[in-house]
Amino acid sequence: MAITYDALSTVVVGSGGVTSIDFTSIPQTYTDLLIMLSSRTDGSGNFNVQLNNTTSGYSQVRLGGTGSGTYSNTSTGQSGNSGNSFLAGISGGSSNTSNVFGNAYIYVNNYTSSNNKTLEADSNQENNSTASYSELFAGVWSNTAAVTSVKLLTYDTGGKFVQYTTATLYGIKKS
Amino acid sequence: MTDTPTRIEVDCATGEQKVIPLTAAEIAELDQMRAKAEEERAAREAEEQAKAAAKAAAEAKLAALGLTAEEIAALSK
Repeated sequence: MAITYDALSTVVVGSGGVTSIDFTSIPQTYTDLLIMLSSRTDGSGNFNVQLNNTTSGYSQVRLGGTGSGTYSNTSTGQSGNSGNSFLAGISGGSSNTSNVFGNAYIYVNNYTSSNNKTLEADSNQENNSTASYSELFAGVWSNTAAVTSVKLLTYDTGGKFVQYTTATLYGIKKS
Repeated sequence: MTDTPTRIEVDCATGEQKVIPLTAAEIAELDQMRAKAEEERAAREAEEQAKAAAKAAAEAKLAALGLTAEEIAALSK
């Protein structure tokens, strides 16, 4: 079975940073969506994902490693700058080694279907010290609308994605 | 004076990218969410502190009853 990845858009954050990266008018011609993210924020490094600018219907679980221990949590919606959305992962943050970015993938399954949508993400902080976080995320968005936009936000109060943060949205077609 | 926060919007149909200053309403919404996040963070921290304090108090009482540190630790496993 052929599986194709089409890079739909790439964003590179400019000087001064931004509070969010919004992919809009997503073509409805693919099976799944994938976002590859290389990012650093000016806060903790946590980032959120919001679909269709909707602030409800988010349930999730996260598993993480800290470098000295592990953690997990389950929640229905997460706050932070995005209001209710997925707290989907971790990236580089202000307390990390200078100029080090984290990387993540965020996968949206069957984004055009009329069923609820499931997502998964794998992210890390790439920090060269004892405290270096890795996270796995799985979530369900209880909403039957097709996904037409994806917003990436920082979790932190007043947070921004810093310059050179890069996000690429792929459409994946299974045929 | 602080810079107006911005967001990047990418139209995947056209490829057009725009850096858009947040509107007053968006900034107000952001402020509201920040306040909510701060409240939730404070509540989480207070809860964790209360749990830690209760645990310490319980351990102190057990120690006062004559339990050793190893015995107390065994109870919490």
